[in-house]
Amino acid sequence: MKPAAADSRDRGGQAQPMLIARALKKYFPVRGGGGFLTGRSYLHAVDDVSFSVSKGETVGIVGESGCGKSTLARIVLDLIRRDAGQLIFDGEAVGASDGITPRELRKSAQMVFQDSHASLNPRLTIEDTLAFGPMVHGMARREAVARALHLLNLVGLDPRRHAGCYPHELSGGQRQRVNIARALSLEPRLVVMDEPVSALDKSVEAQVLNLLVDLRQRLSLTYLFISHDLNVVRFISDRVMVMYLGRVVEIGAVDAVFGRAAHPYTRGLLASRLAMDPDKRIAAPPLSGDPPSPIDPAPGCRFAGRCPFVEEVCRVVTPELVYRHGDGTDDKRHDGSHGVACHMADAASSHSKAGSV
Amino acid sequence: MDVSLSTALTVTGEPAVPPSRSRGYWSTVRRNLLRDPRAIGSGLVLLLLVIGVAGAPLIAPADPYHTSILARLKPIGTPGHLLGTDELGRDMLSRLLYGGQSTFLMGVAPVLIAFLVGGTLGLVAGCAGGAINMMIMRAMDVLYAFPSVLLAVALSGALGSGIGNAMLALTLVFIAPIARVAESAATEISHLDFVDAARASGASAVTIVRVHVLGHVLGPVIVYASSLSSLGIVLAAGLSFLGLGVIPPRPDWGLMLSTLRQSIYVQPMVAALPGVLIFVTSIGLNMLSDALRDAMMVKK
Repeated sequence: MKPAAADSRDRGGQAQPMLIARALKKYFPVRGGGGFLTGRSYLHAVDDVSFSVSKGETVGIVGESGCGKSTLARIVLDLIRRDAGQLIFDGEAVGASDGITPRELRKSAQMVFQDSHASLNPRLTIEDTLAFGPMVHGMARREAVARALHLLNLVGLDPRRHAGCYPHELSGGQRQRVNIARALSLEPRLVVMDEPVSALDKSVEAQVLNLLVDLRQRLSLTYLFISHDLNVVRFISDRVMVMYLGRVVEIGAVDAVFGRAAHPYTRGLLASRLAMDPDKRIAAPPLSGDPPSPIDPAPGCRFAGRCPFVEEVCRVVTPELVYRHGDGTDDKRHDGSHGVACHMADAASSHSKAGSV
Repeated sequence: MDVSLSTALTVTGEPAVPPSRSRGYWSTVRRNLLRDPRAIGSGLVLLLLVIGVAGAPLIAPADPYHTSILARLKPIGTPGHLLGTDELGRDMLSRLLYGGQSTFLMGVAPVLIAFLVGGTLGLVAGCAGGAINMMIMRAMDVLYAFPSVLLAVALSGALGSGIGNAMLALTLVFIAPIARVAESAATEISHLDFVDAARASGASAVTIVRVHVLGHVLGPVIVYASSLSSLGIVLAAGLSFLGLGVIPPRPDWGLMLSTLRQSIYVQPMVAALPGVLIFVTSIGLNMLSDALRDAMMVKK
């Protein structure tokens, strides 16, 4: 973790995490679900997710499609209203009477979207797109346009060539740079990246990742980085959070999670990466089957249906995150230690392999 | 190198280069239209009609109300009556020029009003979503349940004849379909990521709609409304034909078609003239709206 430079906007002090998410929950009502008088069905997109992001830190979120990563990103910026839970930005609760409003949060937290095409208004020039945010916050047009040109410089585009362009005139990589520039236009402290490089080809992906690393250092930014690409997450993150069907199954420092993965799902994910050495190719898929439906999931561990170590307890009791270091009290739960939500990691569970991983 | 973002963004002495600006969307549309022979042709015909109708008091060779028993149903080309005379001996050319005024007014003005009202309703419904969308669009569905011609006839029948009531009836008929087109366009746009990005920048709903949604909704709604205006002309003429619009002796294409009906075996060419004008106007508006639709299909 790199220490963030002293920032005049710092409210809570260096030790105060940039963002604390507590028990975030989002259930989407499902159309046509449930019968007459039997109640509605709900898609459990994000279920009891807690984590924290320290200042200057990058937390990666990985998981399969549909595990709730993107919903989580939008909840963090209050683009999707959470059903339950708390967001605390630099010590101030978002939406609370003594905290900050969602609008104030959005001055300090911004988002980079996956689809570089859909996330830029095709009718606005790049310059207008970049000037929009600052102008919304009261900056004069001249000043906002001047800032837009500097932002283009910052992300490695030529203001003279690209400022007057429309999005369709740029390549995917250039558009994603514009997206990053837009996210930076309000001088945010936290940038949420929702699969920012997933739609790019490999060479451009590397350029954009390097740009993100460079910007993070130069502008002392904090990232929440969502991806399904384990290598990308490993490259850019300090800590990793693994999600499965709306729940956190494992969280910890990159080296701990990638080196000493404890949850069967994380191990399966890591094993399903393609080996660079053709002699080490894997014949059987480490993860077989599809994730079960997130609509009204059965009680117990969400991974039970695909887990090779499944036992009776897994289908009955939902495993809580158990931390290997730290004393397990509430205050220290999210202190950066390695947490696993699996009965095998919990010595107190009735699983036959309890405490073995 | 640790610089805070505000330092990095502070505008230094380097002069802001005026960037080379690409052609804007609407100027591209204009250029495409001017290159389309359909648009030029139908535009010229419509322009000619509008000039003739609007300038009727200056161009019309005779008083459209002046009757003459001796000069009834003269054929086209009669000296002094270029397009002949009607069943009461009134000059057809003058009556056609004056008659277009009420037809155009009744056909086009309701579309314009419905464009404003229906477009706004659809935009609000599409952007707000949820319960508001539900309320607005279900109300529109009630209007939609009736065939447009039937609804126009029923409404103006209930309101009584006269230009004002006919226009009101036509406006009500056009609001629902325009609102639906606007709603579907607005719903589609408001789910795109750039709208989320605008929300993430803290912009108010009004600003987001103005800057990011309106431009995308306007195109399809304008195209649709322009195609409706040809229907409007036909419906307006139809209402007058049925005696629900313009009251005689005031000239109107639909009304003239109705009164000349009885003379169709005596002077078929003259009797067909108002119908020809309705047809030409309607086709012109349709072609123009087709050309507009094609011109707006710019690569996004």
